[in-house]
Amino acid sequence: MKRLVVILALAVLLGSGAYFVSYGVARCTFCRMPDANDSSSWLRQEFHLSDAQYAQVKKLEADYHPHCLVMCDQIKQSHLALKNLILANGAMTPEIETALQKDGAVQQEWREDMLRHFYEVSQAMPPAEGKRYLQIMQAQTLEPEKMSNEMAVPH
Amino acid sequence: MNPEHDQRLNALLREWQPQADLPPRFESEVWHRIALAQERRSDFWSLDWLFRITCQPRLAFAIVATAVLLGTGLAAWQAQRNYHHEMAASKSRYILSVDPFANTLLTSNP
Repeated sequence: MKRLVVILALAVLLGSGAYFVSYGVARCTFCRMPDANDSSSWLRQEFHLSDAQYAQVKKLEADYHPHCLVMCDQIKQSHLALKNLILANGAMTPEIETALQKDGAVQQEWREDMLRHFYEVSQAMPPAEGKRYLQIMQAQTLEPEKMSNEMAVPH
Repeated sequence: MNPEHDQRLNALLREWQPQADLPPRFESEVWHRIALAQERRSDFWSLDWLFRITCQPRLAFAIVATAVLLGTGLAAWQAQRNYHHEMAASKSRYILSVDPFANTLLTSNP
């Protein structure tokens, strides 16, 4: 009986030890988690960027971010104005047409800026990884609603 | 049944001596197997087999080694699963940080 207890206890102890050590080793080596506070850390992990490449990407992000915030604000205002006009009118009006055109112009500007930024970031990466980055990000330019819905759905 | 017929049959059976070549220790082997089968049936639920296993060093080592392998495998699987989950969340954070439209959609449709 004593031998059985000792062997089972040893099995549980060593099994748990193996679990924690292996988990720690895996997280430190091949399963390194991206930094939750750094939105660009995904790029570093996914596209295997060197320190220099990552620094360049971070600089591009820093330059782009203020403009991104302005664009975000413009899109919000344009959408809100359009929504209010649609709800305030019972039929198509010249004001709605103008607001639609303005919204389209804002969206085009946003797409151009974002695509420009994607190209710049891809050029900071090794060529093959840059191409892969563009393949992923082009969907964001062409099908932003779809991508956003995928992000909103909890996995 | 006819009792006279039975008596004759019994007498005949007693006289009958089959001439078959049985393997050596056939009878004892049969009894041994019967005993083993009965033992296995009765011991399984009393976990005696577990006691017997732990008395054998090789099997005891196999139990511990299996536990270690299971722990390692489970950790690798869990680490990989968490990694993919984290990477998906990290990708979403990145896209939200560079795409004002995605940001607008998510904030206007909570």
